[in-house]
Amino acid sequence: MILVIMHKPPQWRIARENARLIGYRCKHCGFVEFPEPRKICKRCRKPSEFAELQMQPYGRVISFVVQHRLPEGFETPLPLAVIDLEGGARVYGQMTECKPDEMKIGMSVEAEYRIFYDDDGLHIYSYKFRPRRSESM
Amino acid sequence: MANIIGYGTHLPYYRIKLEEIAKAWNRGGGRGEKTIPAPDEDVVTMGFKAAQGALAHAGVSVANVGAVYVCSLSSGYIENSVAAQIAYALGVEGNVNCTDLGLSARVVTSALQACVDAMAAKRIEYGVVIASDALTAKPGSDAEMTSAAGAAAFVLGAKNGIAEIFGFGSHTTGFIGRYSVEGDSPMLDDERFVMKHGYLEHLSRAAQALERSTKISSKDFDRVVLQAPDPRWPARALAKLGLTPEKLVSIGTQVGYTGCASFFIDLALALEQAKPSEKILAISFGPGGSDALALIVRENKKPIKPLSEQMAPKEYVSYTTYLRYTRQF
Ligand SMILES: [Zn+2]
Repeated sequence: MILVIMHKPPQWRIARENARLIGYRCKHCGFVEFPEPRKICKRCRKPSEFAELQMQPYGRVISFVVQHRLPEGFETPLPLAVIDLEGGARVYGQMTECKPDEMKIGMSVEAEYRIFYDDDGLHIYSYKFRPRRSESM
Repeated sequence: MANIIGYGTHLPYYRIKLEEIAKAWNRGGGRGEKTIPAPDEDVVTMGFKAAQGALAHAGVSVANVGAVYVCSLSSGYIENSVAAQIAYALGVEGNVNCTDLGLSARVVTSALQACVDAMAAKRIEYGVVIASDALTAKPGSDAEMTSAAGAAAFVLGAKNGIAEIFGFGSHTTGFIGRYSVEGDSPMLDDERFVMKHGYLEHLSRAAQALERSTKISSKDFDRVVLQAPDPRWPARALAKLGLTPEKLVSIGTQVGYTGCASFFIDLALALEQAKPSEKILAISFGPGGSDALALIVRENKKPIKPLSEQMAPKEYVSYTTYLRYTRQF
């Protein structure tokens, strides 16, 4: 998922979408943009007509990679995954609370609002994903 | 007065066994375990998670929430609003009263009172009261054995719900007991003195104030929740309050002391367990005194993520991982 700094002007513009998991669905082809709609749909290339979409926090892992070398501030090895959310949105995001050997294609995950990074002591938040380990979790 | 119509809790996934900490410092003790926040968790993320669960449990639209209160001792900020950040992420914004409370774990009951008062004054329809803490203590300090992380939230409303709050009683003095200075571990010099003249004294006086206002004896409550900076203290306070041990509801020995959140987590657990018409006595404690709260349970409604289910998925970490996750380097 993209990096945002929510106290700075361009990022404050998408703070609402970013904090509340709000995407934009293309009215022509159904493609979901997150967190900001574009002028032209990335998939069907038509001029944008997007409808706001409250994305669901649950989904399944479609594919993943494990990053072993990342800058300071990241817990490594870190799984990164492509996830299909319920209700139809495909997102790319960091996993959290998850060891590489727990990762499986098709596993159920839940979006979690977490610290994304530290900007001069200010915590900046966005969504990551963690494995669902019980029915309600 | 007002009703609890929904509640939610959040416990971190990671735990450390207290014997692991005791072993690292070659000291005795160390039964039980405590929670550790994931490296990407803080009071905002945990409070948000608990509040989101509470709102879903209540079935209340965020558009109808008129006030958000957040209680925390460990936001790490001197200036910044945790309450506003959580409210915004929840979708609560605009004409909303937003309050940050801290400095004493006892503020949880101040926040509940403020919310009940705002509803009595018909200023708000629904309010969300959140407690969230990720307490830390210096490696090797006494407080390291208890400082833990967690969050819980309650949605209050006038409509009938899970439990009715029907009485408050307070005992306020200048007694401090445990305190913390910015950047340092919590200090509690003489545990026996604080226990006797602080904890037991304030708890029982607040309970007496509640008895006078509700005309109900402490003995007639079915379950009791007691806040304490050490999870072992509540069991020792029961006799002084004239209560039997089986009435105590606490997961402190499995979770640790989560500051403001400890009171709300145990109260949420009491609501998870209680049957309709049972009465709950809940007494907060922190620097400055205690507040006692009387509740009567109306309905046992399973929360979105029950504590009983959150206790099971967990991963134990080593002492060095614990230090790394809590940034004790
Ligand atoms: Zn399209």
